Order: sequence, then structure tokens, then C-alpha cells
Amino acid sequence: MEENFTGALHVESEIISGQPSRLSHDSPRQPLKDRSFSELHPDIQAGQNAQIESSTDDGGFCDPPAPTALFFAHPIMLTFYDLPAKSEARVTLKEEMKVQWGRGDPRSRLVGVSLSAFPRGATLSLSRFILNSRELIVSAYQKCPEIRIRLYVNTLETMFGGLVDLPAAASLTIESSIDRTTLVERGSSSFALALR
Amino acid sequence: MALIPIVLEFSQVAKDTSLSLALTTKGVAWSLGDDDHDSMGFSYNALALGEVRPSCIQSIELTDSFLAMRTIANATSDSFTLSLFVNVSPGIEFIEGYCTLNSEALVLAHVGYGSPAEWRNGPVSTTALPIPEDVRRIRFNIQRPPVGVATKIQLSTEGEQPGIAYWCLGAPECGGASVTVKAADGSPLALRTFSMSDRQIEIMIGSVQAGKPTEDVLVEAYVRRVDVASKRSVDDGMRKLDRINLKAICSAGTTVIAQVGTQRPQYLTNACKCFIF
Repeated sequence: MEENFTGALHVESEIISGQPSRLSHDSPRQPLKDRSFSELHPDIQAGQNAQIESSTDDGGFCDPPAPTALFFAHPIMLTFYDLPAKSEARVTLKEEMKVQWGRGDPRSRLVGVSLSAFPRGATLSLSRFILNSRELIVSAYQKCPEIRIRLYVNTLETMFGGLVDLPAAASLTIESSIDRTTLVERGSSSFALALR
Repeated sequence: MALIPIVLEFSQVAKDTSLSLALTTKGVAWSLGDDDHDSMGFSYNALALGEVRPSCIQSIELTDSFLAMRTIANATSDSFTLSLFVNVSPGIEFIEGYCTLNSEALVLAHVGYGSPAEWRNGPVSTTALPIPEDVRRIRFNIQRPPVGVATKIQLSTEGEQPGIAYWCLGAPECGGASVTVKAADGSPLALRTFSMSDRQIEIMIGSVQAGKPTEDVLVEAYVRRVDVASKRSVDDGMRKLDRINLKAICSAGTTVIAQVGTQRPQYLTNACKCFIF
């Protein structure tokens, strides 16, 4: 692994991290439609599983041996400027990039996903928002000068990219810890950003 | 690991205050959901599609075990809905947490398909069972329902599907979730009739004060799928019913938004709309 990565490397397993933060795995009780993150990284998983299982000492708790996903969590900040009233903006991660939105370090106590209006004390003028593993949708009900969204991307890649849909007059700045892009105006644009 | 969907309905929150909900059970963490592109994930007022609903929020934060919000000083509304997931380690069927709220504030927590728990300031707890495979909760937001005219929501399945689906009262195997009808903003609802049969839900609003618009109505109902041997063909294998169709018959000014399971809400029209079960 390179020395100068900026995100933290997570082995997604309750045995390692003490927290149940694995994205998902196939359990017979799993009721939701599911595609494990580790399926996206079969190559990595094969190499890492042995190492992780050897550190399992509480037999029986984790049955059957769970597939384990590995990823870096990179902090990202998205700033939406001048969202007009009754508008919707959307940021979609590219499916083929093996990347997901995340809520940060599993050991984190108080730092994770956050949405806030600026300046401090202003109304977060959102009629709704949705954040799932690939998509972020924000709908403003009134003109909204600035919204800052801090979250993470979970990936092993050094870049991530996606598609942005912005209403007229709005702009969006996406910032990783080493790179930044600003998208302006109407319509769909794609972006790519270095992570480490 | 089980992902359990949670809907939190906050009401009577104070202005200019911090609200938080911390999970204290070990092995339980907030989650953004699975890798499904259509999943609700973490959302705020997701059913308010196309609506101009004023916000009372200044910021929202979510970490592994902590959910915090700050309200604004000049808020005109005092309620909102958040939906997210909890990731629960095997063997855990009960979650505990701590709510920091103003003393009047109320959180109606729908954890999985159990009966909704009412949380106030202080320690809170509820059972958390994975949702059953054959039952799905469907939430409707009926915007601007007309007075004295019925709005109908019809359920159907295609002929070649290996089973049927029908409206039901909930999932008894995971506790007491039930059919719910209420005004979307928590105010009193002038309900005239509500009827539910296997395939149709019908709702009619009674008289409201002159000059006032009718309240948006929130309906929560459940759909159960069953196998039907006569509908099963040889090459179906273990396949179950995997699609349902919904249709809303309503007057022109009314909008119906439906959310099936944890999928994203969509508009319903009087043409059939197909949803993944």
C-alpha cells in the first residue's frame, strides 16, 4: 500500500473493528435485496480473507465465515451554491467505478455524514434528501445560497467519478482531501476526482 | 448481519435546539442501506415528492452510532421524517439508545415491521427483527385529497407470475405493525370512510373548514405474497412473485406517491405502475 494515502483503510469486519460495519453479506436471515460490496472486489477478498479469519477467536459468533470487504474511506465535501426554489440536484456515482457513498470510519464517534446550511444558523432549505450507496439527491423548496454536505466515499480505487445533474444557476464544488472540481449551470456533467 | 429499515417521525421539536439519537447497544450501527441503486438509504422527508414543505432543520449529522440534528430559530414547522437503516449483528433482536430531545418532542420509531415505538427524551429501546421475506410495507402520501370523493389504490399482479399478492394488516411474525391512516403533518384528520379489501384500498375525506385545504393523508399498509400452485409453471423453479402493480384512481387535483418496501417513492397514476416486490 502506498504510504501517502489520505483515507483510512478499513477491514470491514466486526472482529477487526469492533463494530458491525460490513456493508452486507449473505445471511439466510437477510431480508433485503443484496449485492455485497465484497462481490465487487473478488480479487482483494480472496487474498485477505485468510488473514482476517485467522484473527477470529470468538468461534461461533460469526457463522458462516463472512465475506469481508476492504476499502478506504475518503472524506469528501460537496458544496451546493445557489440552488433555486423548487429544484432538485443529483450526484450519482458511476456503477463501474467500484465506489460507494459511506458514512465514514466505523470507529468514528462524532464525525460522519453531515448536511448543513451556511452561513451558520441559516435554514437547510431542503424539502427532501436521499442518500444511498450510489446516489445523493437534494431538493430545495426555496432559494438556498449554500449547503455543505460532508460524507465519505468507500473504494480501493485512486480516483472516483460520477454524474451530476444541476438545476439552472446552481453550482457544485466537490472536494476530496487532495483534489477539487466545480461544476456549474444546467444539465448533466460527469466528473472524476483523485483521492490519493 | 441484518439490515433493518427504520423510519423516524419527529414531531413537536423545539426551535433552535439540538436533537440527537445515540445507539448504545454494541453490535448495532446506523447504515446507509445496501448497494441497491433504488434504495432509500438515509433520507429526509422522502415521501414529500414535489411538495413545498418548509424545513425546520439547520444541519443533520450521522455517524456510526449517532444521529444529530439542529433546528433553526425561526422555524414554521415542527415535524419531519427521517429514514435510514440499522446494521444489526447476528443474535441481536433488541436495540437500545438514548434520545436527547426537548421535553415535548416525540419520535415515532418504526423499526422493521414491529409496532411503532414512541420515543421521548431519555433512554429508549425497541425490538429489532429483520423484515420478513413475503411481506412489504407500502406507504402512500395522498396529497390534496378531495372532500367526499373516494381515492382508490388498487393492487394487481400479472398473470404469468407464480403467485398472488394481497393487502394485509401487517407481519404478525415481527410484532404489531398495523395499517395506519393519518394526516401527514400529524394534525387531526377528517376521515369519512376507509375500506380495505384483498386488492383495493379506498379512502374518503369528510368535510373540512371552509377555505382550508384538505390535509395530506399518509396511509401505511402491507402486501403479502403467496405461492399459488396452479399459477406455477415447470420452469419457475424456486421463483416467487417478484413484481406487483399499483394504480391510483383519484380526482385530477390529487397526487398519490407510493413507497414500496425501502425503494424510492414514486408517483402513482391511473395506469398500472410496476414495482419490485
